[in-house]
Amino acid sequence: MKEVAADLIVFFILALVSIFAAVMVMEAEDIFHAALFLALLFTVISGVYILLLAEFIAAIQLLVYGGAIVVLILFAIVLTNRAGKVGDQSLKNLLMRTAAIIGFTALLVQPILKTPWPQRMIETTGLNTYAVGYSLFTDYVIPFEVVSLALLSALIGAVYLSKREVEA
Amino acid sequence: MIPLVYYLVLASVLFAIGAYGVLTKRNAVRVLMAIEIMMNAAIINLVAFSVYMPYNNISGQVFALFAIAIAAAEAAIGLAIFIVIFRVHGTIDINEIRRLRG
Repeated sequence: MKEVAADLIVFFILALVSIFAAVMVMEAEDIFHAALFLALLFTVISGVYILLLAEFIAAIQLLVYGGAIVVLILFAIVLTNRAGKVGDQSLKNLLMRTAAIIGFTALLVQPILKTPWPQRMIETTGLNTYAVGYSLFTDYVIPFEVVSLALLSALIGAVYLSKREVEA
Repeated sequence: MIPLVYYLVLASVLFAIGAYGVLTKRNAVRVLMAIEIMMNAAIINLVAFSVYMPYNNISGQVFALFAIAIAAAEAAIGLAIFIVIFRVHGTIDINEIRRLRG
C-alpha cells in the first residue's frame, strides 16, 4: 500500500471543498445561500493558510473575510432585492459554462506547470505572527500607515454614501 | 510536503471561477462576491510564494495583509454604492443600470 502524507490528504480535502463552495457561490439560486457558501469558502481558505504555516494570515482571513465582509454582503443582500432573474439553465448552457471555466483554468495552469519552482517549504523558526509584526513595523511602516488611512477614508465614504438624504 | 504547484493550481481554479462570475452574473452583489473570490486566489498566491521562496520570505504575507485591508475597503465602498443605486433605480441588475452608458 502506498504511503500518502497526511498534509496532502488535508490539502486535497480543503481544495475540493473550496472549489465546490466557489462554484456554489456562482450557481446557488438564492443569493443568500451564495453568501453562506462564500463564508464556507473563506473559512476553508483560512485552513489553506494554516497548512502554509501562516497562522496570522489565517486568523486575519477568518476575522476580516469570514466575519466582516460576509456580514457586509449579507446586509447588502437584505437591503437590496433578493430576487434576481435566473439565466438560461439548460444542459447545453451548463456544459458551455463548465467548458469556459475549464478552458480558462487550463490557460492559467499551463505556464505554472512549465515553470521550475522551488520545491521545499522554508522552515521558519519562531512564531509567524512575530515575524509578520516585526516586518510590518520596520520595513513596511509607511505602507501600513497609508493602508490605514485608505481604510479610514473608504469607511467614511461608505457611511456618507449610504446615509439617507435629509430633506432640507 | 505539498508542492508549491498545488497551491498555484488551486488559486488558478478559484480565479477562473471568479472571473467567470464577474463576466456572466447579473446581480451586482454576486459580481462583488466573484471579485472577492478572485482577490482570495491572489492572496493564496502571495502567501504560498512567501512560504516557498528562498529569500526575504515574510514580505509576501505582509502584502497579503495589505491586500486583505484593501479588499475590505473595496467591499464596504462597493456595497454602499449598490445600496445607493438600489435606492435610486430600484434594482441592482447590472444589465438594467444604464446611467453610465453613453
